[in-house]
Amino acid sequence: FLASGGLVQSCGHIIPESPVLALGSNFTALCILNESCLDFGNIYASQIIWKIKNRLVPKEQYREINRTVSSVTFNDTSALATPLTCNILADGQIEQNIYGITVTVGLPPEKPKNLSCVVHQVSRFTYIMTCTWNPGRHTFLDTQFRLRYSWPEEIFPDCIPKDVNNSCTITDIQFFVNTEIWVEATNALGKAESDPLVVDPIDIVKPLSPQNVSVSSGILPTILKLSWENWISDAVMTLKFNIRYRIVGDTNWMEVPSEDTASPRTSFSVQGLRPYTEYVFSIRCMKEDGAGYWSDWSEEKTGITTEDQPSKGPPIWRIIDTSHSPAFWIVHLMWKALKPFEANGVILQYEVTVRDKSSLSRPVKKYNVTSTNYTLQLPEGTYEVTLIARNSVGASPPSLLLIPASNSKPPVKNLRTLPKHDKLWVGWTAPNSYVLKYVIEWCLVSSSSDCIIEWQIAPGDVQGIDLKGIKPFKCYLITVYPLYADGQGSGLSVKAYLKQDRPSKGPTVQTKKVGKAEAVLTWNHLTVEEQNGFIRNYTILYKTIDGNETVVTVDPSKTEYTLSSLTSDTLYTVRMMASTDNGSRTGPDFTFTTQKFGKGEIEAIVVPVCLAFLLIVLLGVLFCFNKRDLIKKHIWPIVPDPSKSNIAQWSPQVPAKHNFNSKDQMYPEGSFTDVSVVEIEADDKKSFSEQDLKPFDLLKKEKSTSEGHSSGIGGSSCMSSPRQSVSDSDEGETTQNTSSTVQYSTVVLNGYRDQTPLQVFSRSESTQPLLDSEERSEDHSGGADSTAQRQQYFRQNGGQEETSADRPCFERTMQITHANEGDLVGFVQLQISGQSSQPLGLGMEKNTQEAALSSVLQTCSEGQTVRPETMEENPLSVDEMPKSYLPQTVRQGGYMPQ
Amino acid sequence: CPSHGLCRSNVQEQTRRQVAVLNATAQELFSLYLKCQGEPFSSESDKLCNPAGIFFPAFRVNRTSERKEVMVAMYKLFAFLNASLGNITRDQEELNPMAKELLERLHNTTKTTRGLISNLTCLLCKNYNIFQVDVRYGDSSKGKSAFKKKQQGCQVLRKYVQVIGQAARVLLPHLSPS
Repeated sequence: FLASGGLVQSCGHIIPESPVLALGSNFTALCILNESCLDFGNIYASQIIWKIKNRLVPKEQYREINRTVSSVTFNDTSALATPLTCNILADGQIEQNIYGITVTVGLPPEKPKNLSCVVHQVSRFTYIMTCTWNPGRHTFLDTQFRLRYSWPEEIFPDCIPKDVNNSCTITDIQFFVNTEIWVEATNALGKAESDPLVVDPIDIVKPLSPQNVSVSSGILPTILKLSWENWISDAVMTLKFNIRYRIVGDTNWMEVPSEDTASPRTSFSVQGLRPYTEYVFSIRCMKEDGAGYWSDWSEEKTGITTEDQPSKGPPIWRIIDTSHSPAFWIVHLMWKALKPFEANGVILQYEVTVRDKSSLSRPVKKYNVTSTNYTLQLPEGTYEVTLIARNSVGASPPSLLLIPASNSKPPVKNLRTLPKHDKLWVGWTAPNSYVLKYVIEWCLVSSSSDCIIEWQIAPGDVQGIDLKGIKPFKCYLITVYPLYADGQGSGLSVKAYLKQDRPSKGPTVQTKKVGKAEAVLTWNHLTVEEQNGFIRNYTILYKTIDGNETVVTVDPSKTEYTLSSLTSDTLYTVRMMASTDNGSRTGPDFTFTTQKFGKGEIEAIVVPVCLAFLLIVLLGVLFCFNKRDLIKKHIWPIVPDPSKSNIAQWSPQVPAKHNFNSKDQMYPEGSFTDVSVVEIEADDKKSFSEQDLKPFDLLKKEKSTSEGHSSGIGGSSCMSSPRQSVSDSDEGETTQNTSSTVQYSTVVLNGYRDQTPLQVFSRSESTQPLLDSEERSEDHSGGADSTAQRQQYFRQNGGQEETSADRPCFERTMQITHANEGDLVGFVQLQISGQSSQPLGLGMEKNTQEAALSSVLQTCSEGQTVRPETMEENPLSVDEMPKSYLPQTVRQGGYMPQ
Repeated sequence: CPSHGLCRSNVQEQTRRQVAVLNATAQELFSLYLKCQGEPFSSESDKLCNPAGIFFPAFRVNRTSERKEVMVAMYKLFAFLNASLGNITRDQEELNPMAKELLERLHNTTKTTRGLISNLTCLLCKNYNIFQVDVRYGDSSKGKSAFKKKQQGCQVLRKYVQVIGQAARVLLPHLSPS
């Protein structure tokens, strides 16, 4: 730059200045240096460099025209950007800008295409014309569009679009003049005009729709008169019209034939309408010759045609209820209200006429009904029922229904259904006979409520109808009856679904019986509400915890199935799936465990074991029985009978006292291992002589000063364990065992002062060995005696019940019976203390109950009268008794210890 | 002829329709004009609107006149009317700016006469090679009083109603589609 007079002057400039270039064209710019700068700064054109937006332009595009002018050429302006600058390298290195220009690259406007115009009527006298066109490609430049129009000798002001480039609206238009309309597009790169559109604006009018439309009913019930006003006078434009109408509630429009409304008018009578029907009307218009556009449809207006008499009788059907009495029917007549186009007005009432065809003499019965059903009670027979609907204008043709005695005529054939969208088509094949019409009954099958019948009548010449209002996933029972001229055919039924779904739940399965390798499964059928379709099959799926699932398909009619080949003692999970045509649903899981043993297996094991056990026991018993002597010998050794001993024969007259004492000394107490029981009745004492009792007194004295022990009742058997005698306890010094000890019982007759002495057996224990002969004699004879004596004792004991009426005995028995163990102890102590003032010690307490029992027995036997018998059985005298040692029934004189 | 492309065969029918439109709307326009001018024009229209004293182009043609003569007469008539209606519209915009319907009708009538002139120009040029017709316009109402303006307008419109009917009748056989 050159400073001159305070102003900075440029050393050069570029031509052209701010060019607008067409995209893709070539472009050459010149940078011209001022002469003044040449001398001042030694700047020449050869030093010029060109830049585009700080990017150096290749020097191949440069050309030095002379020393002050340099040019740059671009073959394609698409490579250009702004700014384009001319620079110079001062002093060969320093780059200085000389000048710069902005370069605008774009496209010339395209010729607007598809110009079209529409004249819109906005009021009675006001019209505007809106023209639209295709502006063409984007030019990247500011492009102006203007809509131009002219008459032959007059050009009107241009219409400049606002905010858009493809439409403009002219408000000042004139009809009946050919107007040339075109679009002109202009930008920096050029101008383009559309093809001109020559049109009379009247031919492109879209008029306003007719206004004030009104509908009025005419004289006839099938005509409505439509009236309206036009916005355009006939002088300007004659119109033609379109009239459309529909029944209120219907969506389908009907249209009056266009040729009927092709002439200018302001009213039209629409014919062929249904009586007493509300219609909706709408109208539109356009230029009569068809030039231009249809107006919008006018606002809708409604009108109702007048009433006419019903065009047909109501469809009638019946349900015959014979449940009360087969000979007397309850007939529910039901009919459908006529559709509006059939009723042709408001039905005021129905007239039902019933004629008995089997008896013409019976009068015809007539009923006026306002509802759509009527119930009659009729005897079984054949009736002709007619029904007439009546409105304010007149009556309908009668509907006829025959009520037959029986449905003996042939039914339809091949009844079938087919879903069609939201309708269920029911088809059948007609019977061979001529059918007047068909009655189709259907009802929703429910498990919880009765089947509410709906019905419909179809003409006799059809073989299928669409049932409406059918719900999907519901089961319907459909029955078709053919109606003949002389009666009614039998009904044929079918179940159908409009649409099926998978069941809403699966069956709940459970076991009825579980075995070792099989399980019987049971389930209930799904209710019809749960089925949602026809159950095609049940599927049982079962598995063990870690096993594969096994699938079994079961017929849908079954409710039980037996799973076999199961593993014993295994947990199984089973579930059940119900399937329809549209899917399946599985029920809840159910688990069960198979049994470890099969049926009869346990019995097969247990019974033999028990039998074997019983056999063993039986064998054991038999063994014991066979070896009873041996066992008895070991457990209950035979006590030799001293009376049968040879010793007794030695000195039969030896005083008893001596023998007694010697024996007492010879066998100290405490050596007994077993007890023999001998009972002696106390009252027999009376039968004893004083002499006889003396030895007893001596005995008493000795026993009271000695270690006298009263024996309990002892005994043993094969099954009883040996019981230690009370005398065992205080004879610890005795070391001989039972086998080496011979046990004796000593009978002690003792009395305390004046009281009746009790006879007590005192167990004698002797270690004196017995002779073999004694033992043998005991085996042979003593045994029998002892047995007899035991028998005697038991008879007495058992006879207590027979003699229990004896009061003293009874009372004492009661005392014992009600006494507890402690009481018994005390009681026994008391009894014993009566015999001796000397304490009995521990041995007595150990066997208190036995002692008490013996005391009771002894006491009870006081009043018994069996004593004489006993004595009679043993009538032996005292002299004859010394041979006997074992305790025996006391006789007069008793036995004397030997 | 200028804009030869626009001078098409339908111009004759267009001209007839234009005359018909003017004829159909002339009476309503006149009545509305009287109504909008108020008294005494509403009640004394016969006296005040008598066109005897004003210039109005002679329209001495009938249905038997030559078509060319009819076309020329009509051109003179509507050239006059176009100018007069323009003046009347201007005066009414000044005197009755709120009379929208009247102004709208005046505008439309004026526009129609413009279109009619365009069509007649086309017909005269195309059919009779007539490029120029001498036309006389009425007196200007500028500078006149409001009453005079109203009266002048009333007189013109009354005469217009009479003549347009005649023109429509005359033009009908001449411009009917052949």
